[in-house]
Amino acid sequence: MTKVKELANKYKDYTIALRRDFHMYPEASMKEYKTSGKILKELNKMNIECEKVADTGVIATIKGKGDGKTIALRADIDALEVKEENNVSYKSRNEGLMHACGHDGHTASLLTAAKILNDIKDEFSGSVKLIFQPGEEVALGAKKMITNGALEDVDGIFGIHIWNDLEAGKVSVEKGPRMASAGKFSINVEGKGGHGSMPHQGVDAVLVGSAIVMNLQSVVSREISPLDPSVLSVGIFNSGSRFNVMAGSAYLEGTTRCFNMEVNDRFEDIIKRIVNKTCETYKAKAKVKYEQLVIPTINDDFMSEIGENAVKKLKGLDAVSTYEKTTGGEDFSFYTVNTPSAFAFVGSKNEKKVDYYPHHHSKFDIDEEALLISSGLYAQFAIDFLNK
Amino acid sequence: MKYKDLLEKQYDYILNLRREFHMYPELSFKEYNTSKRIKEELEKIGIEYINLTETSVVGFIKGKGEKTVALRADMDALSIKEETNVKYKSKVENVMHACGHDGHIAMLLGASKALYEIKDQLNGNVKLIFQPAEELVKGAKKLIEKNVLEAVDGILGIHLWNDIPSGKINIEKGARMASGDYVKIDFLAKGGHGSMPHQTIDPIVIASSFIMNSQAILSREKDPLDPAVFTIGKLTSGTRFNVISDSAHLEGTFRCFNEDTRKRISKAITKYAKEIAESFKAKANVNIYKGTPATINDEKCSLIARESAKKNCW
Repeated sequence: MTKVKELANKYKDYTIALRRDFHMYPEASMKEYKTSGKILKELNKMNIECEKVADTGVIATIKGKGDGKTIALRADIDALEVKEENNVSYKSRNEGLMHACGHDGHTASLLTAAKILNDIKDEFSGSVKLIFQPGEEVALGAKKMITNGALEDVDGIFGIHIWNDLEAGKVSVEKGPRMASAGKFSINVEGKGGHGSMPHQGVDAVLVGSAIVMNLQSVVSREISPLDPSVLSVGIFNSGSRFNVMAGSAYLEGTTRCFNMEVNDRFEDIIKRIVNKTCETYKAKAKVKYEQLVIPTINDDFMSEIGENAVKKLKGLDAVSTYEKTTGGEDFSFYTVNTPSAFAFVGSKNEKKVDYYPHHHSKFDIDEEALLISSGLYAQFAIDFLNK
Repeated sequence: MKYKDLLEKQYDYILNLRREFHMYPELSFKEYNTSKRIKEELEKIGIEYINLTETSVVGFIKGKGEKTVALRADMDALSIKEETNVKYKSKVENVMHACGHDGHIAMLLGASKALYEIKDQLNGNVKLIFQPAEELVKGAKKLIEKNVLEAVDGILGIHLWNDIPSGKINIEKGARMASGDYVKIDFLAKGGHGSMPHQTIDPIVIASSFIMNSQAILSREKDPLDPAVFTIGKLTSGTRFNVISDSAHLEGTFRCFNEDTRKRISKAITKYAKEIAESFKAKANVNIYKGTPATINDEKCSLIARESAKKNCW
């Protein structure tokens, strides 16, 4: 058994207690004041050098026995605006907020990994940088941490997501695309209102909006390679106020997803082209706004290999799993632009112990064995990266 | 006295009455005081009347003959804040006779006064229909259900019309105003995450497809010489950019001048909505609420009206 595994087992109760404490006091994105306070407190207890960064984030450093590389380990700390419907002893005490995505587990696991690494810091050279990041759910936290120096002098970065759609005991840290990019677009169509019985005197925004929706269907089906999985969805279409009044304007909002920067970088232009030309056809005008929320999360080959070997050491070959990439997004992707990286899915589904509910559901809960694996994996990955 | 002179005598009466009604407008089915005033005037003249419905007034001038002609005026006002600065401006907050119905009541009372004076010269009877709730497209129907048209051989209505210059009267045979029906469509689909469309059935795509395809009902399935219009004025679906909603709600109107066309378009709208929904594995709830039929002037009556107008214009 590796030292890391041994220590992870030793600190299991600590990890679970920590997770439950965070679970009871969830805080909204970018408002994780008490959460970051608790993180600092725990790190100070361990005598680990740490500081508050970006208002509600924390960066800590554990130095090894000599000079070497720096590996960053990242955990997100924010909760969601969801009303918890679990009846557990550690149910959320903060009305309308819930750790419905597992970030409480990430925070607890990384703190445990800090404890482990601190215990054995003379067994590696270089340093481990711990990034406790706010606002993942609003895709703002990573960017803020990076602006505040999170990636300075960092040679590699590793992140984990506890994952309810993967069996507990399994871990996926495969190479290649793991999570998708996410873009957000909004379209304001300007037609010309008028009486519903005299359409020729105006420009019908409901018609124009509909033509835009239909035309946008061809983006994925016709303009992107079938081998490049992509999505373009319109989630909101609101137009008009009265049945007999022709709508003068329409508002649409939607999202794009893909796994490849080349495709990702084409979305904005394609959407603008289709929207503008469709509007022109009907003598309408449009304002299109496009926002890149996150880019694709793509694991580097050698980082993935380090991850898989770390999993083998902790749980054996059986634990190394494959998991189909998901069209969900992660702002972890922003750390990966110029830094070697890997992102792991640590399975937490166990219907014998916990009823299954998907992430973000009001009854979401995890098999806490996943915390044991996560804390071990953070630490093992760090050591293996630094010792390579 | 010539009828024309008799009518001229009523001018001040009609003008003052119109201004009075203009100052005290009442909403559809709530024309309580308006109704009371009409009854007062009819009593003063000596004309019998009955209620039939809560605020309607149906008067009767008995002449010497079998035929009965009905004359109709509507009574209701609108939820509009008057912004004119006339001395007879509405005294009721946010209610206004913004469609001329105040004028219609006054005109019919004036005509009633004149007709009563010469009732012995009339070759039949005159039924005076003061009708509520025209703006809701409900008032006429209610009166008809109460048999207001029993033993009526013909009916004339008038609308003051601001899009025609004063001094001109338009009475033509054939279709004069369109039928209007209210369309409500709900597409029932399946919501889910915007990044996994295959797990959903997307109501925005269905609604858009319906809007695009239904253009063909009028452009391809209808005689070009038969005017009709179909407008969806309101479309709402979805609350978040990254969530596929489970439904889309549409409201619209369709108008035409021919009962046959009206039936066919109604069927076509329903068919398109249901079949398009089905093609996406969704469902459509279509509700078409019939409004008024088209107003089509009878040829004979139009001729009579045109002659009458010629005789009495000054």
